[in-house]
Amino acid sequence: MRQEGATKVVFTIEPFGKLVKLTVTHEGFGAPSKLLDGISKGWPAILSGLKSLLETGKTLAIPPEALAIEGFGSQ
Amino acid sequence: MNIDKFKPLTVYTIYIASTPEKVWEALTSAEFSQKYFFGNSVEIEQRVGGAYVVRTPDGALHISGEVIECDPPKKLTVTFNVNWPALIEKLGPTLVTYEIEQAGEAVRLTMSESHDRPLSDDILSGGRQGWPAILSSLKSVLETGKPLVVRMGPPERMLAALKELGIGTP
Repeated sequence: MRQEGATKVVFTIEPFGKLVKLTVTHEGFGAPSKLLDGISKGWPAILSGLKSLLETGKTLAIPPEALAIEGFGSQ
Repeated sequence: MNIDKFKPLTVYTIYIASTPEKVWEALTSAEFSQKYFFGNSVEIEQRVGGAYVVRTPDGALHISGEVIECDPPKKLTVTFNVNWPALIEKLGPTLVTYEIEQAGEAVRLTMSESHDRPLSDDILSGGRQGWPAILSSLKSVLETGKPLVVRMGPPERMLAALKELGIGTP
């Protein structure tokens, strides 16, 4: 994965009534890309953890193995 | 109903500090769904072939469907057809699948919206606007007891695309 080129992430934060709408876009992957597969599984866990932390003060306990990303968390 | 030719065109995954049983209940109970699904009530007969209905807060039929797969608390697949004239005739049925998995102490909920034909991003934009709000609010209800108050405007981009196809909308 580290041999794949640099990619671009954009975070957009918008007020949405009393809420905040956070949009993350990630682009610039080669094809095929192991990074894209891994990152597609990673972002939902990261963003879900971020939301829990902001709303409840607690992060989510998601073990890396649970994400089923090849080469991540499976030593 | 044969669902082999359906392909997921929109997929969202969210992790929730909860149990698979509670997530299942949130997805299948009218009282629960009213809190996070823009006030809409889910009514479901939990067996294959059973009815799946979503009613608006005034009781009107908004979505009608059939249970295709029912494996509590792991997997639920339903047809999810918005009751607008000519929608199904022109765009085909919509299939929604919820998959619930334990992930450490959290639960991974994956929602897939599948269709039996290719659809434009314009048509799909309605669901892509709504699902993140619905699932974010579901997560908040389960984790904090409080839903999100999401004031969402109408899905203009999708409505314009439907109009162009001659599909009437309310």
